[in-house]
Amino acid sequence: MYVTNVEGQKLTFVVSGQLWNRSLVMMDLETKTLWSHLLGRGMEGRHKDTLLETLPSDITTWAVWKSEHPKTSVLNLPRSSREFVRNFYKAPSRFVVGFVGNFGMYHVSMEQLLKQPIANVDARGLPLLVVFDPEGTATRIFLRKLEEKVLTFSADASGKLVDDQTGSTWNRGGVAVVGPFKGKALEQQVSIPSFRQAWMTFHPDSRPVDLTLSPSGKK
Amino acid sequence: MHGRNQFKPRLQSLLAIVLVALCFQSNCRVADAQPADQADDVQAFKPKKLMSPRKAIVDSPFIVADEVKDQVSDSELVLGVIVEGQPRAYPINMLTGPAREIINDRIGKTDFAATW
Repeated sequence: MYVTNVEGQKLTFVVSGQLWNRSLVMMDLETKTLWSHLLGRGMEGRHKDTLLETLPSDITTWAVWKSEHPKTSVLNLPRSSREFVRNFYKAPSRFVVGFVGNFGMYHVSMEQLLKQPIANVDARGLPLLVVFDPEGTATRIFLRKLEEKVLTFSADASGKLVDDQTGSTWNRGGVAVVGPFKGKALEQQVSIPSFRQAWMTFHPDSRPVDLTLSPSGKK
Repeated sequence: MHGRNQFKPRLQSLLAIVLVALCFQSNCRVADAQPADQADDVQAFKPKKLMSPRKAIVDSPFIVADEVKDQVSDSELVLGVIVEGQPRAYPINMLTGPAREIINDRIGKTDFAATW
């Protein structure tokens, strides 16, 4: 999900018809620059080496998305496949969720997320909260720092997300719904679900995050 | 999904630059900056041309959640985004294939491309 205003110009992106490392190459009609879809980076043409700004997005089920966002709009085109339903992730070892931390890229395995859906991660000094929704299979990553305070999170007995410092209760969108932080929101970070093999091809130095070493707050 | 095709392992560092830039972009701190990986053995960008460029998708039709009948079912995956406070969903099953893949869109004053 990329912002398409680049250096003050609105660009229109198309499928270039070319693949690089078997991955989509985009082209913009205005400057004919070729862009790597996976890197979000201009590879050839006027915007070579320009990075597109990424918007945080979720991949989740329609049921979960509409329950969280009842007033959502939804694209209405004829289906081009029927393949992508919830059980798409039935082989979790093949998937990772990638993200940016301090000094580079990181990834967590879908297998670990299934076992530990809430994790307080420290990406070399960058405190992050990883929240996996087993129902919709979306992984959201937030900066777990608010008003200069680093927070740690855990799930309470009913599975609700609670911070250990103030006891505020948070929804899965990173917004405090009860407690001292009520109404405040954590800053959502970009998270990128990928095939493990593709992620490691494009990000060979990506650091694996072992969630078993990233406790989910109080036990 | 990024990289849903299979890839051959290659490409060393390209990333040094990208990392730093991405890091910058996402406001992460680069305090005691350790040297980034050397960026001089960048994998050449040699894309393979399979077909001519596809038509741009602009001005796509949208409906609101209440109007959904059988366009999307509960268990189907969607790409969801919130732009300027407004949520929007793109069913993945509407984004597949070379004729789709990239939806040029706008919410409020934000122009963006929905792609996965």
